[in-house]
Amino acid sequence: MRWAADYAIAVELSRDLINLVLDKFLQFLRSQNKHLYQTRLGFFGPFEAELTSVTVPDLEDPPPVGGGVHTDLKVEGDFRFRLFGLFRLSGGILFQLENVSIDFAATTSGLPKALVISSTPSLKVSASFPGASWIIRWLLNGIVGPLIALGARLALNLVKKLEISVWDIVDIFAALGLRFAPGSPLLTAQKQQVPHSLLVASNFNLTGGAAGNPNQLASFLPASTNIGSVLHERIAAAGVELAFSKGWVPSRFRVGKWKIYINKIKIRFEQDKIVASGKLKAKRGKCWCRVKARITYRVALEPKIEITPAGTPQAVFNYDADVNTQISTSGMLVVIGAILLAPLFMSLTIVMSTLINIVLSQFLPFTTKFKIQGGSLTVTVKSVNFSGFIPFQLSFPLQLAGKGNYDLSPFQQFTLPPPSNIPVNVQFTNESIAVQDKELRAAVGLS
Amino acid sequence: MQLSIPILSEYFEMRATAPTVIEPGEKMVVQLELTAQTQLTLGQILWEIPEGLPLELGEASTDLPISLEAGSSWHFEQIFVAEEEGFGLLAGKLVFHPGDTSDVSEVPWDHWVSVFKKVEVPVTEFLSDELRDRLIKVTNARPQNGHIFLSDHTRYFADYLNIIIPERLAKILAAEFGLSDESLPVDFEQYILFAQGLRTFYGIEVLELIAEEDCNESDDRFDPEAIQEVMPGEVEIDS
Repeated sequence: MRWAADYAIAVELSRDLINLVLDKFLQFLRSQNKHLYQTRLGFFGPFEAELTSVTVPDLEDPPPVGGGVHTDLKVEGDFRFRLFGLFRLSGGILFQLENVSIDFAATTSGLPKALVISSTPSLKVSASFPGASWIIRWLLNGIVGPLIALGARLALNLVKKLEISVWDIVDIFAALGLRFAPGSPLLTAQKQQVPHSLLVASNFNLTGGAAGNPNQLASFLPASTNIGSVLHERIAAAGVELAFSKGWVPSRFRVGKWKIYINKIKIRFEQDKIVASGKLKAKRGKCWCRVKARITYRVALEPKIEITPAGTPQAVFNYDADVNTQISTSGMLVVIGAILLAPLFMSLTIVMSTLINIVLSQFLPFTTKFKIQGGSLTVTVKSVNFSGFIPFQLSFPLQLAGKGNYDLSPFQQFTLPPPSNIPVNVQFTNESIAVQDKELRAAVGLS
Repeated sequence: MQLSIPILSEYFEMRATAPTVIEPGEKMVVQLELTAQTQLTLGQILWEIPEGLPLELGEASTDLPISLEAGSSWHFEQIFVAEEEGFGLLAGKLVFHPGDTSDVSEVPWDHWVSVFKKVEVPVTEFLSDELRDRLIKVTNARPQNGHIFLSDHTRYFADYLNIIIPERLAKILAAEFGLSDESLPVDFEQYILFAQGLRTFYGIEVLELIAEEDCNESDDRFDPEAIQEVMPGEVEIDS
């Protein structure tokens, strides 16, 4: 069963994550003192409420026509009220907003960048005061409540929508030159798995490959994660070919006395493997035997997440070789590492950048530097234009049975965009990277 | 080189030995050594000679069918004759039935055979066109030959192409290719495993050799297929 129902890319945001975002939004409001609501209820007196939490209790399924999701929003607060200017009342207030629409504001290329909460024609607002003593509750629920609800409803209808920018889900696809197909991205919700979640799925204008099937979209998040992304192999293939064509990764290089030219590379995702196959040429220059070699290659790595004792996440991998019947030389392994660099780096980086804001638009274009040290081929990937960016480090083993790794520590924390600048932590689990036929999935827990 | 190929079956252990290279006009003997694990009746041996391999079937040492008891050994020789140069994979098939049953089983195996005149190359010149042609045709004939070539090119030239490289030239070539840095050539035991088809180099599916003049710069370019947005198909531009 395909995680992303044949879509080129799909992102799932669980309800826990939406509530986390709303909580971060509230933290921000509090830091600006905008979490206080003050009003005068006519001759009843001054009323003050302080927002303490904003959550989404549920997500409704199926979505309305045209995308988006209808849900309820629960807002809790503490209130202080001077009845007739004389009696002090205080307690908890609960706003229920029914039939609020949650959608995404999109970047110019169509990628979601902010949660938008807006009113719908069937919006219902009710305010109630749980926990107040029965006399007070009669007064508050019977008279004051509806007044507040009316005020809130008018305010919301005036405001129409509230945009909470989530993060710069950087237009990596625009940066790569991939255009969204018509009808992309598609937003829907799933209610089969708890917690419920929002799903965003997209296709691109590329030849070949199936379009996605919206009826088959379902939850794909593993346990202990609240946001995930699934990349179809055809996008990884496009990303890899772009990296070679644009020169970010070398397609021709010298190893020892040999010149290697990579002519073709094709990426496939198979169960637990990232596979690269294609053709290359190996030339010796002036050779006694007066021949060149054209090699059809197929190499694959099996990536897994490992958390070091210090808590740093790494994507470790080994080659899918059978050490009982296959051997390799250090020169061949250097070539294999150089071939697999783009498939590994581009797939993981594209999929992680849809989850985590690491300002990838500034990172492209990049250069690679290769160095052989201590039995490994280490590769440093650096941004060309932006020197403030910490380079990525990858290493490929120079023994067939060895282990390589891609250090994921740059992905461990990021900040929400200004003006909030609130930090967000990223938790990796052992299921954070998974590969199945045609799809690569990344999932993390944000907190 | 005489190459021995182990052939495993649940009913017997067999080794098939044959030379990898002979000269035209020479006689080639394929020897089979079989040790039966259970009672067996050997029916016949079928040979398939591919086009391009100029072998003719000669005499066989014993007549078949033959019955064997468990634990007994059997030795068989088949003679082939080649008049011209050529190469290919000689396929053998042993047809037998275990015990007293009439369930017929077959066990196939193959031998690589090259038929070429022996040549010793001079130290100073490059490989001649004719010999280079031999190298390219044999190496490209099947994927395993590419792996054998990579594992030890000097032995490969001798055992598969009948081209003898003098020691001095072999040393010069090893230095030129930077082989010792790569732990190449492999040791003799590994080379035999490559020849038997039991070892390959990881990542290489097919190694094709191309004559140097036949390949120009445009063939070295990177070909991006997956980022095409529009497939023009067969485009005809009319005047």
